[in-house]
Amino acid sequence: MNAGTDAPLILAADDDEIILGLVVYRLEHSGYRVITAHDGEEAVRRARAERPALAVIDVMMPKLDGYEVTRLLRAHEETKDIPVILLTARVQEADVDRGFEAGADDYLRKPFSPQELRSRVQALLGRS
Amino acid sequence: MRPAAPSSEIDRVSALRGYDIPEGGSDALLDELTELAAAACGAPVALLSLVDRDRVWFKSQVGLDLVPVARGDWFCNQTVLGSDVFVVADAREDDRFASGSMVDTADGLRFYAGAPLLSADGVAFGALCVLDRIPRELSDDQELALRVLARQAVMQFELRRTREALTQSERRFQSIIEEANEAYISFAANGVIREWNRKAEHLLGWTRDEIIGSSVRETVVPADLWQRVVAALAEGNDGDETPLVATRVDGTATTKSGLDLPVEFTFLPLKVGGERRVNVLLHDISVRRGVAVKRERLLKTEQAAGVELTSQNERLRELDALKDQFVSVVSHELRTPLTAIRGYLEIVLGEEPGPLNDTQKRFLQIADFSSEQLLRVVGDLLLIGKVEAGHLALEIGEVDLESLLEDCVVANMPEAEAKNIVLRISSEPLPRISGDRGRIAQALGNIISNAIKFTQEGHVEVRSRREGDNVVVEVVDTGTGVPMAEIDHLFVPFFRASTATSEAIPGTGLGLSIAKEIVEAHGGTITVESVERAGTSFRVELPVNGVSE
Repeated sequence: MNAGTDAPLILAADDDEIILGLVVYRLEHSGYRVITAHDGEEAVRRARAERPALAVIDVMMPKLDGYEVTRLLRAHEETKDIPVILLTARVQEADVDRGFEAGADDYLRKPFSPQELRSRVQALLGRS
Repeated sequence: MRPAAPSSEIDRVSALRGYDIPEGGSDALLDELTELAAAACGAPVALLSLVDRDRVWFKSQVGLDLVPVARGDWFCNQTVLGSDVFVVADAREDDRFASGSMVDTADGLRFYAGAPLLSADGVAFGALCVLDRIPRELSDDQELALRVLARQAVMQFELRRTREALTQSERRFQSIIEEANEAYISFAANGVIREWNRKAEHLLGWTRDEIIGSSVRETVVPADLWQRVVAALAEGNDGDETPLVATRVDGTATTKSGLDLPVEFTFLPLKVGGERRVNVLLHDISVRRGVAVKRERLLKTEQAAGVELTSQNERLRELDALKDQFVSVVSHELRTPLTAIRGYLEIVLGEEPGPLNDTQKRFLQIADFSSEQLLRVVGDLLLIGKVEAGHLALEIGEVDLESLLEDCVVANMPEAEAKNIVLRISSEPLPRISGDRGRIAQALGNIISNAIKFTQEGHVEVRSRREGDNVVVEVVDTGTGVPMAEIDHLFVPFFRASTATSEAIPGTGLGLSIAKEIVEAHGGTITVESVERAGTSFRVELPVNGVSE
C-alpha cells in the first residue's frame, strides 16, 4: 500500500532513527509519500526544496530544534503554509504553548499512537 | 510605774499563768527579795503572794509558813485591784478583814502593806507584802522599797520567762539543725568549729566529737573561699548582730576520706554572744551537678544532632532536587523508547506487516499491556513531579461525571473480573461539573483501581449523588482495609500501606496522592474511612462549579 506519485508528500524530521522509522512506516502505509530529515537544518532545507504537504517534526533535534524549524518554515513564503505537527516528549504545558506560538498546527505528546498520528495528519491535510 | 487600770480577772489569771511560775520548791533569789522586803520594812512577816483564780498562794514567805488560802478575805485580793501600795494599818479596825482567820486570833496579824506585782501590760497578778502583829504605818522610804522590790520580783519572773522561751527556741533550733537535711557547721571567726550537725557527720565523715573544737576549715571549706568569708566578716559592723547577707557559693568540700564533694555553701555570718560566727550550710549538689553535666552533655549531643540534622536537611533538599531532576529526566527519557515500543507493537498487532499466529499475538498483547502499565507509572511520576513543583495545570471544560464514572468502571472491569470481584456502579442523576475531564478520570480511576487492588473478595461499589453544591463519589470496598496508624499517610506520595507490602500488592504509592492533588486542584476534598480486614471507603467531593476556565 505504498503511496503513488500523486500521494501527498510529508516531511518527517527526527534525529531518533527508531521513532523516525515508526513515523515513516505509519505514514507510508497510510498512503503518503515521506521524505526524512535527521536534524533541524536538514528539515528546513528539505522543506524549502521539496515543498511537502505537511511536516511532522520532533521538538528535540540537533542544530535547530522543532520550534526553530517551525518558525523558519513560517518565515518563508514558499513554506509558510505547510502544516506542522510537532512531536514532543516534553511535558510542560509551556512547551505546548511555545509550539503553537512558533506556528505549529498540532502537537503529539510522546508516547503517541501511530494511529493517532495518522488521524491528525489526515485531519490537517483534509482541512488544507 | 505607769498607772494600771483595774485588771479584769481573766487578764490577771492569764498574766499569772503566762509566767509559768512553779508552785513547789524554794527559789533563793525570790526568797532574798522577800527577806529584803521584811527587813526594809522592819516587819516580821513578808510574803510574795500570787493571786490565782480562786486562791492565793505564796511563792516565798518570811515569818510564816502558809498553805494557799482562799482569795475571799485575804489582803492581797485588795492589792491586786489597785496599782499601787495598799496599806491596812490595823486589820481589826477594818471591817473587810477584822473577821479573817489570821486576824481574829490572839497574836493575829494587824498590819498589812502590799505592793502589787504588775506585769509589763500593767496587770496586777500578785503582791509583795509585809505584815506585822501590831498596828503600824510604813515610812515613805519603806513604801518605796516595797514598790521597788515588787518590781524586781516581776523582773525575775519576766527574765525567767524570757530565758525559758530562749531555751525552747534554742531547743527547737537545735532540733531543726540536727534533723535538717543540710549539713550545718558553725565556725568561730578563727575557724574553730563550734557546731556540727548529724547531716554534716553523714556528708563529711567526721563525727561531732571528733571535729568540734578543732579547726579543719581548710578541709571543709576551701582556703580561698574561707579567705573571702573572713574578709566579708571583717567588713561587718561590730555592733550588728543581724546576719550579713547570706552568700551562696558552689564549691568543693573535702570529706574525711579525702573525697572532693561538690557542694553549695551558704554562709550566714552572725555575731553570737559577742563572738563572730560563720554558720555554713552545705548542700550536696553532686546530683544536681551530675544532672547539669548530663544536661550539658545532652545539649552538646543535641547541638551535634542539630548540626547533623541541618546537614541532613541540606542533604535531603539536595536529594529532593535530585529526585525531581531524576523524575523529570527519567520520565522524559522513558517516553521516547516507550513511544517506539508501543508504536511498533501497535503496528505489528494491527498485522500490517504480516499476519501473526495466535501465540505471537497473545505474547505481543502481553507486551503491549505491560508497556501500558509502564506508561502509567511514568505518567504518575511525571504528574507528581509537576504537582510538587506546583505545575499541575487543568484543562477546564464541562464534565459529564456519569459517563466519566462509567468509563472508569469499564476500564477497571477486566482487573475486577480477573480477581472475581464484583465491580458495580450506582449513580443518581448528576449535574455536569466544570473541571479537567482527563484529570478527574485519572483521580477516580486511581481510587477505583486502588480499591480493586486491595480487595481479595467481595465487591467494589462506586456510588455517586449530588449533595447541595457538590457531587459526591464514594468508592466502597470489602478489602483488607488500612491500619489506623497508616490512614493519615495514604495520600503521601510513594507511601505504601503495610498491607500492600506484606501482601505484595504492586504499586508505586502514587495513585492516591495524585487523586488527592487532582481533587484538591478542583476545589474538592477526598477523605477515607477504613476498618481493618473489613473494607475501606473513599469519599470524593467535587464542587459543581469549583473551577472555572
